[in-house]
Amino acid sequence: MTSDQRKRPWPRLTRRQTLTAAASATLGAAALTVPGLSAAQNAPGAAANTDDPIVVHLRDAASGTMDVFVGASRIEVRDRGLADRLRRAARR
Amino acid sequence: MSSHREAPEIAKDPVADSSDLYAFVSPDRPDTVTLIANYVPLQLPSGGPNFFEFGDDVRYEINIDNNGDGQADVTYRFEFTTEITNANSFLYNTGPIDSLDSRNWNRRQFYSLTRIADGREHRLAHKLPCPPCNVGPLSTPTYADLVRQATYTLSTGERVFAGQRADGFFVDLGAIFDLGTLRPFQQLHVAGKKIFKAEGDPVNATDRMNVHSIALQVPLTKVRRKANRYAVGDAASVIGVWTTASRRQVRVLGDRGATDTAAGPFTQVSRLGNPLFNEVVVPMSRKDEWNTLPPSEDKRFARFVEQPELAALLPVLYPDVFPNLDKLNKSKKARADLVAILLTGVPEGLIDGFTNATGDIQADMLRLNTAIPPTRKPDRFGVLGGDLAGFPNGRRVADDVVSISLRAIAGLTVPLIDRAFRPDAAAAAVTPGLSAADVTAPFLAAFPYLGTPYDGFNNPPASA
Repeated sequence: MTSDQRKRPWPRLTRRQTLTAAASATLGAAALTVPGLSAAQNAPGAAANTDDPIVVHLRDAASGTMDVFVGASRIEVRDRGLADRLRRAARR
Repeated sequence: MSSHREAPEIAKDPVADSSDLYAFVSPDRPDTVTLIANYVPLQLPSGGPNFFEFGDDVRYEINIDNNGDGQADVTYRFEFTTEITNANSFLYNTGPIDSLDSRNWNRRQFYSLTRIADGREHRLAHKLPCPPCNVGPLSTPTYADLVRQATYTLSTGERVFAGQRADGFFVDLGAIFDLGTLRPFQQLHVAGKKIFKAEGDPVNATDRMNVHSIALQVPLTKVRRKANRYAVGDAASVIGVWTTASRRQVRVLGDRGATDTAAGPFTQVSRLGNPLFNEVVVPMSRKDEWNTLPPSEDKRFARFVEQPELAALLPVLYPDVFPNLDKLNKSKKARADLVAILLTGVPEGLIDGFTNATGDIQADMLRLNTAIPPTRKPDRFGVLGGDLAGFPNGRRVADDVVSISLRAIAGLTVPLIDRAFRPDAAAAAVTPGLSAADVTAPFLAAFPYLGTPYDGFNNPPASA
C-alpha cells in the first residue's frame, strides 16, 4: 500500500459529477476496516471525530486509487485489495 | 450581469452564487476599507414563506492579497447556522419582529467570523445574529433599526454586517442578452434596426430585487502589508480583493427522512473579483472551471482578455459604429490595456497620479490603491471619468461598472498603451443607459452602504 498524494492530477469533473461519482461508490463506514493505510490529508489539522461518517470514492478501480472523505479531510489511498473488496461489495 | 448566474453550475446554486463585490476606501472613515460581497442574487422580495438566507453548508470568504501573488494573505470567513424558534409553525414570523431576539421570528440565522492571516485562524466573533428579511410593514415595521442592531463593531477594529440588502447593481439584462442590444442605440443594431426606428428607454432588470450581503469595514492596517509608507506610488498601498464560496466536497442525500451527510474538505464553487470577468470574458465551456480556481491561476485565461469576444462582437452588432475597433481586432494585437485593468493593475506612468499595479502575476482581483482618498463628488465612470477613487480602482456601490467595462472593451483605454490608436467616437458614449438613479432603494451614506432591502408587501408594487 502506498500513498500517492499529488502524483496525478485530479480528474476534471464538474461539481455535480463529483457528487454523483462519490455517492455511487459510497459504502457504509461500518463495513470498512482499513488497518495500516498510508494516507495523506489535503487539509492538515482538520480533526475528525471517531463517529464522523466516512465516504469512499473509488476513483480508479484498476490501480486501487480512492479518496477517503472524513471530517474536513480528503485522504488519498492506493490499495488494490481494498478496491477489489469494494467492487465486490458494490457487485461490480 | 455583474456575476449573477454567470456560470452554468453556479446558476443552479444561488445560495453560493456571488453576484457583486465592492472594495473602496470608506468615504466616512477613510482609515478603513469597506469590503462587501453579495450572494443569493435576484431575490423576489415577496418570496415567502421560506424567505432567503445564507447557506449553513456554505463557507463564504472575502480574500485580500497584499503582495501581488494572487493568493490570499488575509481572509475573512463567514459561517452560518440557522435556528427555528417555533417547531410547530410554518410561518417565518408570527407577529412583528422588532428585535433580533424577537420570539415572533421563527427562523433566525447566526454567523461566526474568522480572520485567517499568517497561517493562523482567529475567531473574531461567534453567533452574531443576522437581521430578518424585510417581509413588510406589519412584520418588519422598523427594519432600519434591526439593521443597526445587526451591525457590530468588534474589539479587533472591524465592523461587520451580514444580511439582506437591496441589490445596488443596475443592468439592462433583457436588452443585453437579446443579442447584445443597448437600448439607447437599438436602432443601430444589426438586427434591431429592422424593428426599432429610434432609441429606447433602458430598463434596470435588477431593480426592486434583493441580495444577501456579507460586509466588512476593516482598518487599513489590517489589510495592507507592513511598509514604512503608503503613498500612491508605493506597491504596499495596493490590495487585491476577491470573494469565494465553498462547499464540502461530498454530500450524500439522506433517504426517507434521514439527514444528509457531508464529508471532506471545502472546495471552491464560486469566485468573483472584477465585475463581469467570468460573465463576459471567460467562455462558457470554462466558466465552471474558473469558479474553482484561485486568482493566481488566471494566466490560463489571459488569452480571453487579450482577444475578448465582446470586442469582436461590437463592430458586428453595430455596423459602421466601431470602425477603428474593428481594425484593431483584425490586427490581432493583444489588448494590453485590458490585461492591465483586469489582470495586473494599471502601472505607474499611464494615468497621472494613479497606479494599482500589483506586479507581473496575472490574477483577476479587484485592485484598490488604498492611498487614493475617497472623492467628495464621485464620478460614476470612475477612473475613465477622472475620478481615481472609483472603478477600476476598487469598486464603489454606485460606480457604473457596465458602462466603464463596455467603453474599455470598445477601445477607449487602448491609448493608454498605444498612443497612435484613436478610439471610435462611440467608445466614449456606449452605455446601456442606466445609472445609480435607476436603483429605487437609495444607497446609504454609511456602512453597509447598500440600500434597505425592498419589502415583500410593496414589491412588486400594487398596480397604479
